[in-house]
Amino acid sequence: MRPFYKALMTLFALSTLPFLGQFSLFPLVGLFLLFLLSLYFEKKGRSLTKSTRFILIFFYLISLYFGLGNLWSLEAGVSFLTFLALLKTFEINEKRDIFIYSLIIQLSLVGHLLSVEDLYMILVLLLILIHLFYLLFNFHSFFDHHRSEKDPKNEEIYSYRKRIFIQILIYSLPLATILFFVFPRFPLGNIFSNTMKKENRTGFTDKLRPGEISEVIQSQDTYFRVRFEQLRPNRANLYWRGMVLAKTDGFNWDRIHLGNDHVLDKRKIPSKNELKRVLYRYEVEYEFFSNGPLFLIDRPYRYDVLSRNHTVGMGGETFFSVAYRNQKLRYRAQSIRRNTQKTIKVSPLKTSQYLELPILNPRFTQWIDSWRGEGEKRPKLVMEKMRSYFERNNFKYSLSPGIMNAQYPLDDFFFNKKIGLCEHYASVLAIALRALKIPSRVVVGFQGAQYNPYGEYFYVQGKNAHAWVEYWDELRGWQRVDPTEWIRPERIRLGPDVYFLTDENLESMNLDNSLAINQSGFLQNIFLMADMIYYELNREFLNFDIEKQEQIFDFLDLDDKSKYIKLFILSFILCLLFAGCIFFYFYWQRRRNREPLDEIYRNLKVRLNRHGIVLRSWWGPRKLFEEVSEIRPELREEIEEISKGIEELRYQRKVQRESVASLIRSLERKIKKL
Amino acid sequence: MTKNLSQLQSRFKDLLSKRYHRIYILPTQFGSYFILVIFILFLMSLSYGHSLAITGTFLFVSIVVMSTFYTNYNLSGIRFKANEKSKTYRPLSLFKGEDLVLKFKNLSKKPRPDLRFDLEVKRGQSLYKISGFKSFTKVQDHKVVFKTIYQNRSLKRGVYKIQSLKVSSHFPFGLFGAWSYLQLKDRKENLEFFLYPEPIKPPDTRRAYLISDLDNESDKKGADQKLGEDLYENLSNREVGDHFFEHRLHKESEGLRRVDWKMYARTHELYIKNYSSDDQEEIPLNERILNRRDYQQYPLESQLSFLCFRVRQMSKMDLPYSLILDSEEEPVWGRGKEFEKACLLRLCLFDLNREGDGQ
Repeated sequence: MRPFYKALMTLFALSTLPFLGQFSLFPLVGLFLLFLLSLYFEKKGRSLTKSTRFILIFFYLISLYFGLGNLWSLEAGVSFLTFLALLKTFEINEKRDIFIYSLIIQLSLVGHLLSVEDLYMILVLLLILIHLFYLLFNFHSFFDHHRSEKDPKNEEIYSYRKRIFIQILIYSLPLATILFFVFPRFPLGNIFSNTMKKENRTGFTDKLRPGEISEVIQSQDTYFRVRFEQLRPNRANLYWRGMVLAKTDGFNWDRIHLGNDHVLDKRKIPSKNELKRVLYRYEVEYEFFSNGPLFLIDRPYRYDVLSRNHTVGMGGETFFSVAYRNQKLRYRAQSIRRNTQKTIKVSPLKTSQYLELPILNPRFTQWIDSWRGEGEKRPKLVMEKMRSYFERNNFKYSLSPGIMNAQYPLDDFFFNKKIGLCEHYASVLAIALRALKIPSRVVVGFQGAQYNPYGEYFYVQGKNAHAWVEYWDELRGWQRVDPTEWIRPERIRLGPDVYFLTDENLESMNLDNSLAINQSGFLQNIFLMADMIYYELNREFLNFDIEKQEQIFDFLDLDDKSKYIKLFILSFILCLLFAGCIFFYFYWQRRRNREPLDEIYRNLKVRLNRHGIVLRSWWGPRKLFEEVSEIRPELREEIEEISKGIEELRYQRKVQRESVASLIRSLERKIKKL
Repeated sequence: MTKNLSQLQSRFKDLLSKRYHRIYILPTQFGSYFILVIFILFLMSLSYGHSLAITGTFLFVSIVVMSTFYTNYNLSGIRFKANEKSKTYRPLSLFKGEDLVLKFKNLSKKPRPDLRFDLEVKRGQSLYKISGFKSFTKVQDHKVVFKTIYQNRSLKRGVYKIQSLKVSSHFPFGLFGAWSYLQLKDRKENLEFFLYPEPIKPPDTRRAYLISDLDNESDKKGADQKLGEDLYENLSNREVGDHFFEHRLHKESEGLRRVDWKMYARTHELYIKNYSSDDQEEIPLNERILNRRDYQQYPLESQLSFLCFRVRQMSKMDLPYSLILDSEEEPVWGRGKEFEKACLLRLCLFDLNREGDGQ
C-alpha cells in the first residue's frame, strides 16, 4: 500500500462512518463495493480506466436515484461527493490529486454537518479537521522522496513541523470560540433551504389503530425536554397535544383536515399580570430531528419555532413541523391553564365532521340504543354511564391487550375482552359520544413528564405516549376527558412507570408522592445528572442563536436596528485583539530566535548611528574598534570594551553558557550607555 | 530639528531596506477553492442557523487564518548566508543545460521548512527568472541548509549576475503562498556566473575522438544535438570510459579528482586510474587546432557548442591544443585546467555583442 493511501482512507472513514445513518441502502451498498474495489486495486497496484470510472459514476447515480428518489437534494449531493472521494483514491498520483481529494472531502463535510446536529459530532468534526489538515500538512512528504525531513538527522525540522501543526490547532480554538459566540448570526433567510423528506419519528402517525401505541410506550427514548418559566402545571394536567383524529371507522381513527375551533380572543386578556397567572410558558427541545407534530400543552395559546423549521397548522389547534435540514426542533410556547377558559372565545363549530359515524358494531349499537333517549346531547351523563360501566365490568389496563376481533373489534373489546390501553378507552368513549350526537374527537400525544431536579426541567419519553378524548361543550368549547383516569388513575397521577409495576408494588407505594418512582436509585441519579449536562450543553451550544447572543451582550443595548452592526463591530474588535496577541507572540518569538550577536550588532548600529557612525556589516570587532576610535576618539574606551566582548563571544569557542549570557548582558549595558 | 528628521528618515529607510523584507501573501489556487468552500459552508450554516455547521465554519476559518500567520512567520526575519562549502562563494561557471546548485544556510535559530528559492538573474539589460525544481532541506552542524537545484536550459550563454533571490513558501498547508525578495547586492563577486555553451559532439566523427562505448551508441547519420547531449551527460557523469585499464602515477598539474584513494590507502602514493579509452589514440597535431572555421556551415551557437565539446575532450585527454575563434588569430597552444577554463571563457564571451541578447 502506498504510504498516503492509509491516510486518505482514514480521512474517508472519519468523514463517512459517523454519517452512515444518512445514506440510503442502495448508495450505501454501492459505496461499500467501491471501497472493497479500492482496497483490492491498491493492493494489486492497479488503477481504473477513465471509461470504467464513468460507468461506475453512471451506475452510482442510478442507485442514488432509486435510493433517494431524486438527484437534486442535499443528501444526493453528499452521497455523490462521498462516492467521488472514494473514486479519487484510485488515481492519486501527485500533490494535485491530494488537494482535489481534500476539497471533495471538505465539500461532503459541508453536507454532513447540515445533516446532523448532535453534541458528539463536535468531537467527530474536530477529528476530521485534524486529519484533513494533517493530510495537507504532510502531503508533500508523500511524493517528494528527496525531502529527507523524516531522516533522523533532520529530526529537528521534523519535530519543529509537528510542533507548528499542534500550535496552529491549539491557537485556532480560541479564535473559533470568539467567532462562534460573538459573530452575529445574520438572518440570511432560507437561501439554501429545501424541506426534507423525513419520516415522522414521534411514533404517532395520521392513524390510530388501538394497540399500536404500546410500541411507543415501551420505548425508553427521550422524545423532548421542556423547561417551564414560573408557572408549572402539575403532572395530572400535563397533556401534550400532538394530533387530533376526527375520522373513525367505528373503532380506528384517522386524521382529516380540520379548522381551528378555538381562537383566543386577545382583547379579552386585560393585562400582562393576568397573563402571568393564566399562561404556562415553556421551551421545548426535541431530541430527534425529523418532521413531526409540535407537542403543546393543552390548551395551546401561541408558539414560536426557534429552529429552522416551518410549521403547518393541521386544525384542531395542532401543528406539524417540517424541518429544512436535520435540525432538532425547538420552540417556545404558551398554553392557557384549563381553569381560565373563560378567556376562550368559542367559534361556531362545524359539527358535522365530529359527528360522522359509520354503522356501529351490533352489540354496542344495542347497548347505546338502550339509553339513547336520556343521554342524547348530555355529555356528562354519557361519561357517567361509561365510567360506571367500566368500573362495574372490571375493565383492565394493559400494554398487551391482544388483537380484537377483526369483524366487530369494538364489541369484542367492550363486551368480551374488557382489557385495553388508553387508545381503546378513548376510541370507545369518543364513539359513544358521537353515537349520542355529542361532537367528539380523539387526541394523541403525551401525558405527564419525568422531572429532572438537577436541571429543573421535564423530559418526555415514549412511555408518556397517550390518547384521550375531547368533546364539544356548547358553552365552553372543546373539553378534555381522559377515560384512562377512570380505569387506572395512577397512570395519570404517578406517571407512566405504573405500566411496569405489578399491582402489589403499586399498592405499597405512597400515591401522593408523585416523584417517588422517578427518583429512586443511585444509577437513576447518575442518569439524571448526565442528562442534565447533555441538555445544558445542547441548550448553550447547539441552540445558541441571536437571542442568546443578545442575552450575553445585553450590556451593549442591542436594539433591533443596530444589533447586527454592534455585534459585528464587537466580533471584529475581539478578533483584532486576538490577532494582536498572536502578532506579539510571533514578534516575541522572532526576537527570541535571533542570534544574540546579531541582536548586539543591531543595537550597536542604532547607538552608533546616533553618534553619526555608520556600522558596516563586514566590520569585525577589531575593525569596529579602529574605525570608531578614529572617527570618535572620545568613545575609544567604551568601544574597546565592546569590541573585546564581541571578539570573545564570536571567536572564543569554549565559552560557558552562563558566561555568554553575562557577556551579552554586559555588552548590551555598554551599548546602551553609548 | 531638520537634522534629526533626516536622521530619522534615513533610519527609517534603513529599516525598510536592510532589516526587513516585505512579505507578500496570497492564497494559492487550491487555497482559493478551499476558502470558497468555507464561504459556502458559512452561508449555508447561517442560512440554516445550524450551530454545528457554524462551529465547523469557524474552526475552518480559524485554522486558515492561523495558517496565514505561520506562512508569514516562516519567512519573517529570514536571513541567509551562502554556504561556504558550495560554489556560491566564487563566480560560478557551468555549461548550458547543466544544473545550477545553490546552497544557503539559515542564520536564524528556527528551522524554515518548505522553502523554495527562485533566482532572478540579469544578463546585460535583460532579466531572467529561474525556478528551483528540486530542493533539499537538511540540518548540518546544527544549522538548516537549503540546497536548491536550478535548470538553466532556457538561458543563453554569457555572464549572468544574480539580481535577487525570491524565497517563497507554502508552509504549512499549501493554502497560502508567501514570498519575499532578498536583494543580494553586497557581495558582487559571488553573484556572477558564466554560462558556457552547451557541449555538443561535432557532426564529423573523425574529429571527435570519442570514448569507445559512447561511440557505439552514437547515431552516425545525424541527430548531432542528441548525441552531444548524451555524450555530455555521460562525460559529466563518468568523465572517463567504463573499463579500468591501469594505474599511473599522479602528476603535479593534475587535479585530485581521478586519484584512486583506495590505492593511496594501500601504498601512500597518489595513483590515477586510467581507463581503456583514455589514451586510446594519439591525435595528430593539426587536428588539435580547434578552429571555428571547421564548422562555419553551422550557426554560431552550434559552432561554439562543438568547440566547447572538443575543448573539454582535449583537456580530458590532457593533450596540448589550440582554440581559434577568429580567422586572423594566431594559434596559442596550451593544456590543463587553466587553459581549458580560459578557452571556455572565450567561447562564453565570444561575439556576445554581435549575437545580441544571445538569440
